[in-house]
Amino acid sequence: MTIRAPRQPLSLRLTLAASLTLWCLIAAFPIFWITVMSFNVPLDAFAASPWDVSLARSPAHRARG
Amino acid sequence: MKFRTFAAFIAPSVLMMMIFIAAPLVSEFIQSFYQTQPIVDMVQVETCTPGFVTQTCVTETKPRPTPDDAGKMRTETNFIGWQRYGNVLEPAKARDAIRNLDPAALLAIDFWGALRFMLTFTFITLPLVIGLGLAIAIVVNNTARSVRGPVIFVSLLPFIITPVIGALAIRWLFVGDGIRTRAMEHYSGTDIAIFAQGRAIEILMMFFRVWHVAPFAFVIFYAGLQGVNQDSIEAALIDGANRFERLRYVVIPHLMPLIVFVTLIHLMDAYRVFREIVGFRAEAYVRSLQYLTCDYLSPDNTGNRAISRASASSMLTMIGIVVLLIPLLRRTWRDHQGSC
Repeated sequence: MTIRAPRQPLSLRLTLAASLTLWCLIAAFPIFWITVMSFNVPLDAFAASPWDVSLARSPAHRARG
Repeated sequence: MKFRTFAAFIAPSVLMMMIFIAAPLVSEFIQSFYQTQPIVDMVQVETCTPGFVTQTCVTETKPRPTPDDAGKMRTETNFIGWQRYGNVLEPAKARDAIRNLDPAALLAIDFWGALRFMLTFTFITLPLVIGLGLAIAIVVNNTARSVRGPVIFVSLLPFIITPVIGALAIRWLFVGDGIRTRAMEHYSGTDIAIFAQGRAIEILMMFFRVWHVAPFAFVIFYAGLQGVNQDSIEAALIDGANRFERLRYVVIPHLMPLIVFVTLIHLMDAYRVFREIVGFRAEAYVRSLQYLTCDYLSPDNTGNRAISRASASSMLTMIGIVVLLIPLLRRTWRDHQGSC
């Protein structure tokens, strides 16, 4: 007979999922950002909104047309 | 296995280790006791500059390298004993600083300042790397099989990327008005200049090291978790052990050899901290012995390299690593003896 470990409570599962998501964000974001910056000018690194830079809507993008 | 077969099997590895590891170390050790200098003649040099009525002339005695018949600079090598170790350690200054209870004076000496930084860096990052790696491994091991592959891939990214590029990636987030600094300024309402403070840069360097190395610890521990004895887990369940107790008394003892392995690797690697200093351009605030060694090897204004001082600094780095590893190696040896 195999003894099964008790099922994880919902709160624990949510905590683990949130921690893992946070870790994945921390692990991937610098690499994502440097990838985005490889398609942009250095000025974009100091843009107010990373979303604008990621979606090619930063002032530097607009200036370049 | 016959000894002859065993010897033939390991001979190529031993030979390579002798050539590429032992020989350079011995050479470096020998070089730390010798000094090579150009042979110079002291000559009188008269330098004249235009002046009103008459020119102004100054006569100085200057060293001038003497070339050989082929026109190359002649050098001489002298045995200088422990002098270079004294130059690096500066024992008299260090003794005075300790006697006067003046830590600032002690840390102003290159070697002792570097030692303080290397030890702080190593011993703060070590538990974070082990703890974070273990935590990620346990969480990934408990997550649904369908998401494990992508999560493992993303988790390994910081370890896969070239360290200097990784350091630059983190630096760009925090430098000047980088997006992380802007976010922190937005939430705190204060102006933040991380790269204007030595301590803040040190923390950022430690963050980078943990970010970069924790995936290595994770993948080692995750592999170890696949081999946890299920009978022991079931026995612990029958005995009424909760999750924490199963982790404490079954899982961690099973992973202990891997924890020791990761600790050994991390101690060796973190004590030689170098790429963070280059990546974060932190040499004005903190330096390690490896950075000092590299610095000594850079040509000075006259084109000379302080090779003997660099060798002494390198030897002191190696001695430091050996001292750090001795307790772990003793433990591993005891475990090995116990299991035989």
